[in-house]
Amino acid sequence: MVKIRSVSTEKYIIAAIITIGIFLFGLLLGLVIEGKRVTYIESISKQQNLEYNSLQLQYAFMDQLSKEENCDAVSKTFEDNIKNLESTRKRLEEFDENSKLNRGDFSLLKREYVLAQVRYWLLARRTKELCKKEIATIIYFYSNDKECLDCGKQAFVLNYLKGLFKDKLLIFSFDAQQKDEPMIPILKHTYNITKYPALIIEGGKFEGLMDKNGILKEICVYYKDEYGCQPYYKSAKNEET
Amino acid sequence: METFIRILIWFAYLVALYFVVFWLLVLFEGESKEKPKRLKKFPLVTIVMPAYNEEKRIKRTLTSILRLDYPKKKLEFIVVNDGSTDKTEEEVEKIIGENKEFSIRLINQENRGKGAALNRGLREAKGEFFICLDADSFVKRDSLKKILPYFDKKDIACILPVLKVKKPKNLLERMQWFEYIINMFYKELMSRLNCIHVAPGPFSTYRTEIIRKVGYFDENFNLTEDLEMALRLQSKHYRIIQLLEGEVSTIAPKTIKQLYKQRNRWYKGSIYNALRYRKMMLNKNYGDFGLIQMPLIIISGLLAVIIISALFYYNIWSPMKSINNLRYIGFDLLTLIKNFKIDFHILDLNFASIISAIIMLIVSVYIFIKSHASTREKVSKYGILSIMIYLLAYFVLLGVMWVGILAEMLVGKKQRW
Repeated sequence: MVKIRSVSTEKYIIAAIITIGIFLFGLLLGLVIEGKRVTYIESISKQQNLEYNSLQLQYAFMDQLSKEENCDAVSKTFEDNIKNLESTRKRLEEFDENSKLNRGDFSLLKREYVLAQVRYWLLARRTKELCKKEIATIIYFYSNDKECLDCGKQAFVLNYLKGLFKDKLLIFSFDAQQKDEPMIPILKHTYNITKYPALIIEGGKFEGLMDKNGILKEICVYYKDEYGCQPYYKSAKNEET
Repeated sequence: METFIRILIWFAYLVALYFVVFWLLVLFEGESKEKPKRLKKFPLVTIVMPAYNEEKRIKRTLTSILRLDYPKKKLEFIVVNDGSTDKTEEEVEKIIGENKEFSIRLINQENRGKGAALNRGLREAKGEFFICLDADSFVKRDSLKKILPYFDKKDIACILPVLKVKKPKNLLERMQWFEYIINMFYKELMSRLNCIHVAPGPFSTYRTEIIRKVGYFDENFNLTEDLEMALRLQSKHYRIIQLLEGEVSTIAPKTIKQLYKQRNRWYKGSIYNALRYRKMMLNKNYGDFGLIQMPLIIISGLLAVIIISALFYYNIWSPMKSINNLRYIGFDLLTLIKNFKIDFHILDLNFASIISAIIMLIVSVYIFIKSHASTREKVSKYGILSIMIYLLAYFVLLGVMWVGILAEMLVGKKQRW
C-alpha cells in the first residue's frame, strides 16, 4: 500500500522562478555594468586620441622649427600620456576577461589600444633621438592562454621595474594572441617571436621569463647614472676587476 | 578546464540559492498547526540510556533525568551497560540503591555497540513511548510533558525536542551553540514538510510500538543508527516532528579534532544511509522528503566542497602564488612598497560577487535572529564577536571538514566510531 504523501509542487515552482529571477537580475546588472565599462574606456580613449594628435603636432612643430628647447615640455606631455595609456590598458584587459556579453566592444577597444601603443613606441624612439633623452623601451608580448605560465611573473617583474625607473623606462605590452589586429602579427614577425613571454628590449629579442637582473643587464647600458642600476653597476665593476 | 570550473561554481551557487529560497518560502508560509491540548493522562514512558565507560558522567545524567516533571510511577529507566571496562556498573548500582522509589534497571551486556544496546533496552521496554538518552545529555524538567501531547496522530513515530549545546565555554563550543540553534530552526521547517532525516540521540521520543514494528535499531551499521532509524521511518511513511519546545542539552566536542571525528561520523553516516535508502531519492511517492530532502543530503556536502574550494582558490591560493613572484625581483620589497599606488575605479569592483555576498549575509543574519527568537535565546548571549566569527568563518571550517571527509570516502577509509 502506498500512502499519498504531499508534494509542495507550488513551492518548487515558485522557488525556481525566484531563483531564476535573482539570477537574471544579476545578469542584467552585469550587462549594465559592462555597458558602463565600455563607455568609460571609450571616453578615455577619445581623450587619449586627442592628446596623441596634439603631441604629434608638437613634434611636427619641433621638427620644422628645430626648437629643441621645447623638448622638456613635450616629453612631459609624452610621459603623462603614456602613464594613462598603461593604466587604462590594464583595466581594459581586466574588463575584457570578466566580460560575458560585450566581447565585441571590448575587442575593438583593445585594438585601439594596440595601435595607440605602437604609435607611442614610435614616438618614444623619436623623442630619444630628438631630445637626447635617457630612456629605454621594452615591448612585452604576453599571452592570456594557459600555456604561458610565466606571463604573470614577467608582468610582475616589469611592473616592479617600471616603479623603479619611472619615466625612464617605457613598457609597451601586447597580447600576442590578439588575432584581429594585423599590427600584432607584423610586430611578431619583425622580431620573429614564437614563445611567450617575450621581450624586445631596445630592439633586441629575448624569449622566456627574464628576471630583474637579466633585464637590468640589458637596459642599464642606456643610463649613465641611475639609482635602479646600482646592482648592475656593481656586478659590472666586479667583472672588470 | 577554467570555464568548466566556473560553470561548476555558478551551478553550485544556483542550487544553493534554490534551496535557500525554497526553505524561506516554507518559513514565510507560516505554521498552520493547531496547538495540542495539555496532557490529560500520563502514559508509561521508558527511558533507555546506553552506557559505555561512563563512570564519570552517568551519575549526573541519571540524577538529572530522575528529576523529570512526570509521575514517578509512569517512568521506567533502563541503563544498558554495553560492556564497560570501568566502574559504570558500580556507579549505576549505587544510584539505584539511592533512588528506590524509581523503577531503574541495569542490564549488563557484552560490548556490542550502541545500536545493540538500544535494542536490548527496546526489547525490555514496557512503556508506550520509548526515549533514548545519551550519557552526555541533560534534559529540562518539563520536556516530557511538552513532548507527549504532540503524539496526537497515529502515524507520528518520533518527536524531537530542542537540542542545545551544554554550557559552551570555548569558541568552538560557542560556534556549535549557534549551529545547533540554527539547526533546530531549520529542522522545524523541515518538520513542516515531514522532511526530517535524523533523530539525534538525546531525548528523541519514539512510539515504542512503531520502532518495534519497523524492526528495531540497526546493529550492524553503527555509524549513525539514529539517522538510519529516521530514514527507515520515512521510508515507511511515518512522521517525525521537530518541536521548538522541550529542551535537551548535550556536550559538544571541545577541540577541532574531536569535532572532525564527530562530523566524519555524521556526514559519512548521512551519505551512506541516504545511498542505502536511495529508492526514496526523487521518488514522489515519498513526497517532499524524496523530492527535496534526499537529494539535499547527498548534495549539501558536494556544494560545501565546491564553494569552499572556490573560496580557497580565489582568495588564498592565487595570492599565495604571487608571493613566489618576489623571487624574480630579488625580494626588493622596499621598491614595491614605495611605488605602491592604488589605481582604483568604481567600475573595477566585481559587482556579482559583492552583491551575492551581501545577499548571503543579509539572509544569514535574518535566519540567525529568527532562529534565536524561535528557541527563546538571546542573540547577544555570547557577544558580537562570536556572532561575527560564526557568520563569517565557521562555515569555512565545516567546509574544510567536508573536503577532508569526502576525500577519505573517495580513498575508502573505513570508519569506526
